[in-house]
Amino acid sequence: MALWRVLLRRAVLFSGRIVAEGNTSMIRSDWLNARRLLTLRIAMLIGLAIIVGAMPGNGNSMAAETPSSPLIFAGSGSNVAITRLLAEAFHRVHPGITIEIPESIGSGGGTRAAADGAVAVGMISRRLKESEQSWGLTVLPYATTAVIVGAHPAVAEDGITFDELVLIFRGIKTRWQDGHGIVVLTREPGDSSLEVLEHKIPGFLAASTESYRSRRWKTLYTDQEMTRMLAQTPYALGLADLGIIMAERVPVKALKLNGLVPAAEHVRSGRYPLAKTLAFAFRRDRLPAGAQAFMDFVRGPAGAKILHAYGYVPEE
Amino acid sequence: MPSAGHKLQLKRQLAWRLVPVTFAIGCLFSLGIPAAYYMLEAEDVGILATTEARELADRLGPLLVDVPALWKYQGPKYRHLLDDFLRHSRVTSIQVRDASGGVVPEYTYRVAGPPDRWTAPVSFGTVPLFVNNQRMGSVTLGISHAPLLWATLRLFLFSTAVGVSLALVAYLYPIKVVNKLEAHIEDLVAALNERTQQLEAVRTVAVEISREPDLKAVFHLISQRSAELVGAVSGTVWLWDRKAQVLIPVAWHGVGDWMREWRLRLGEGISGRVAQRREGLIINDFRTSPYASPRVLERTAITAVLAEPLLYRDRLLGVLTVHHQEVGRTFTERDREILTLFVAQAAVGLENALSEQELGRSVAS
Repeated sequence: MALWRVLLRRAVLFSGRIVAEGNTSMIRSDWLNARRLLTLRIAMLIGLAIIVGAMPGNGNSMAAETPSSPLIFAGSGSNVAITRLLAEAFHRVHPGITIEIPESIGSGGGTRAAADGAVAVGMISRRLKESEQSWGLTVLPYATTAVIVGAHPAVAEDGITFDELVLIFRGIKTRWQDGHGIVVLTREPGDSSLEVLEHKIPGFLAASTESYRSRRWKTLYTDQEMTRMLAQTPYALGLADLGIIMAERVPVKALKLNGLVPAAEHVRSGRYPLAKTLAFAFRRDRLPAGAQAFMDFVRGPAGAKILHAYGYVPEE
Repeated sequence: MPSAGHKLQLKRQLAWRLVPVTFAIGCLFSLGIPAAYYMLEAEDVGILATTEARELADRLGPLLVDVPALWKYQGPKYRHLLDDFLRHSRVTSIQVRDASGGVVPEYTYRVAGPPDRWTAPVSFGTVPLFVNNQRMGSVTLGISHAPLLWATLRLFLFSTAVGVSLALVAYLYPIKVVNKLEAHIEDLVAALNERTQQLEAVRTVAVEISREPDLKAVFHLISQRSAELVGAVSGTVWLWDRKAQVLIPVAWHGVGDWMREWRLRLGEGISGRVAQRREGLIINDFRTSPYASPRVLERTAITAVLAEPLLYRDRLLGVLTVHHQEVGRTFTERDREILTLFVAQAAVGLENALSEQELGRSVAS
């Protein structure tokens, strides 16, 4: 694999030098000599291309390393912001490899797309479901982040308890302490943040399911939409990731949960109870080399540094 | 002039003319109103389809990624969004297309129904789909006309009931009015005919009286013909005796000969009263009238009396009375008018006869 990469780079560099020489020749020599030289160089280039193209090997991996075919990483909105930052940093080190990260298609969409080969790597913010485990995907965790109960900056309170959260989702507690109405923003069933709360907070699953069924609150469909709405809607409350808020620099207030600040050290120590793990999901047999390089970068010291900087706990 | 028995047949003529008009009214209401309603509402459904499509596109745009190849992997999120969107919507079909016009099958929605069921017309609305401010496809949304058709059917039944009612009213009311009018015209014609006949009778009798040389026969003619003119069964001619200042019966029929010796002073009985006032009188409740003489009540069955003074140049010649002798029969003002006409003619004939008799006596003496 590495051999073909080297050959390709050489070919590209060689052709660039020939073209540069050709340009000076055009100035110095007569038109006939220049034409001969150019014909020779074109023939050499074509010959090289034929030799390289005819070599056996993985076409995907070849294409993956050319700047013109970016590698698509798609999936959960929780992964999008931080992975984009990581991809930018990676591109600076490996300019020949471009990682493209579209907006959220969800963890489910990411795993399905990775299994189908529609994307190089899927990004997930939850464990694989039972139905997804038979798709031959390899899951590579790379960071953990706190799931926070976020509020609009206008909210005076700085903390909330599990019980209050359940009461809010049941529609019993409807006002902040200063008397302003609580505007609850929620996510569609199956969202990874919602699933974390449903597993960790007693009674939350029933409250959340009932509130969705009765359409009590406004439902949002991506993490990006959630953080944006939390920042824009006075007295709003919703679930978000600490990492997204820091990575996207969104003015959302992260409420203490049961008196505990949602911070990386508390997530690492396990004291902060609501956390989710971000991971890559891919088919090992179809994994492009560039994608592997990127994942290595993310899980390496450089990636860990970036993850740290944005409140994530890197996977060791 | 039509005869009394002749029918004008206005009703029949009008009925034929009213049939198309009322049919048009019925059709206008029963078909026109529902049709107009359906057309206007169908246009609204089309606008609604476009509005709903725009709303769906506005909600779908922020959800979708700008790589159409990945749209199908956002299906689960889209289904949640669709659940929420369809809660208060009458949408029956949705189709999302990418920029190349290809349908995204995962985003296609259609209301499930039995395959053999009749499908109502559908209004479609199509709007562009923007993702990250780029036009990346379109959303086409259909809304079935089925609820509108049911509403139109209900309106049709209601408007048909109203239309038929109006058509019936529009048909029956003029017919009823014309019926009454026709009856009234027939009454008028009948009255006119009767009047003409009476006038003709008056003229004939006047001629008859003027030709009669015998005074006694003149009296009888006046008595008989006057009763015939107004349909009475009996009558009496009283002559005014200026010297004795009494009314003397000179001719009668239908009341008996007991009248021969009867005399009436001015103001006495009905005839005396008419002579005194020199004005006709109708007594339809004769049996209970204060003017009725007990003798007459005893000896006759008279129930109603019409009396007119016989005047010649304001000079009283006598009184003419005619009677009904059947309970329930009465004299009318029209009878009186006829009799007034008759007595005017009769008075002239009577005066002539009396003058001739006087002249004959003078010549003889």
